[in-house]
Amino acid sequence: MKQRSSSSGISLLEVLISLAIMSGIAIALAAIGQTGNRLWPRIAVNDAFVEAALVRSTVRDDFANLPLVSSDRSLSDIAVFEADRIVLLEKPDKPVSVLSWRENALTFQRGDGQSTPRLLYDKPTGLTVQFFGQKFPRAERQWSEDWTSASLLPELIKIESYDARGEPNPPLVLYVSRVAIQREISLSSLLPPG
Amino acid sequence: MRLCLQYCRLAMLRWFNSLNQLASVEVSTLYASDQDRDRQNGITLFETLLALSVLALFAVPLFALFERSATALANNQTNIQQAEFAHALLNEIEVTGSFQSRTEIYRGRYDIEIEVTVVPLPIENRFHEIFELYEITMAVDDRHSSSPPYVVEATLLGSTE
Repeated sequence: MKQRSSSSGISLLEVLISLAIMSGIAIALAAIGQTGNRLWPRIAVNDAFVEAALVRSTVRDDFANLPLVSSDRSLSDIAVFEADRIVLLEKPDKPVSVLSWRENALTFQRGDGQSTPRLLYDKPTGLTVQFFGQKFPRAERQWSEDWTSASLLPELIKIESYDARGEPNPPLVLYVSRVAIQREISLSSLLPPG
Repeated sequence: MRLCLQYCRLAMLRWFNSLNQLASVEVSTLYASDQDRDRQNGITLFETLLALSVLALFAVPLFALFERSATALANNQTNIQQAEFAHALLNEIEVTGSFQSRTEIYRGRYDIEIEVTVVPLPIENRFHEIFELYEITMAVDDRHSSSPPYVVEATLLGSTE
């Protein structure tokens, strides 16, 4: 039998087998690529989702920390309610933050409008805003879609929307002046807080 | 296993002999015995296939891991949304005073179960005639997700009915 030297090249069988092995590796790599391709959008969406959830938490805190309307502090000193935005004020004409909405966008902006608006939901659709409370002293507490002419703060702001796929988002409920209300309840109770 | 390999080798030799007659390709290495083979020359086909099989054994669980991480990611989002929804509902109940046990579906996506138990304030409390405590157990379940429902228990102060 003739002995093949190591420099004489490769046989057809070796070529076929290496092709088969390379095909197997290529298929495995393609599967890895496909999995990565499927996972990457989910990870990107998750980043946007977490960012938006943190912004929602900030908005809830800002509204919860608003002071109550009193004899020495009117609504215009605390917040300005417009048709498509709410401006929270530290002093008259000094905004702390702005919550603004359109049918397909809900943004939150800190300060006097210089910072970048941050999204509360990623590509929302069908956005609606409702207010609950007394618009004026001695008025009935009820839900309303407009708070521009009110003289009191709403007790609750409810923002409902759908996501980009048409699935409903959980409603965003802002409990206005929650901290001040709870402090008032604590101070008026029989026992001190805690 | 060894018998099987020998059979495969024999079949491949026969097939390759016929190819050799057609293509005149050098096949002498196929007849070389294991003793003849110098291990310094490289690795055998069997070793290559074995290595690939071992690699595949590790790769398959890794793929499962990717899938599980993707599912965990989706479940985390669902849990956050369910928790947000539950706390939003608690705020709404507290402010609007709608302390009724009920079951409802929110826009076809979330199943909501609210169970309310009324606990009167102690008689020595001066507000016992106008306020009551409401023990609320609420479960929010996203119908589109396999993650378990978010359950929250809270005690709220509300005016008497």
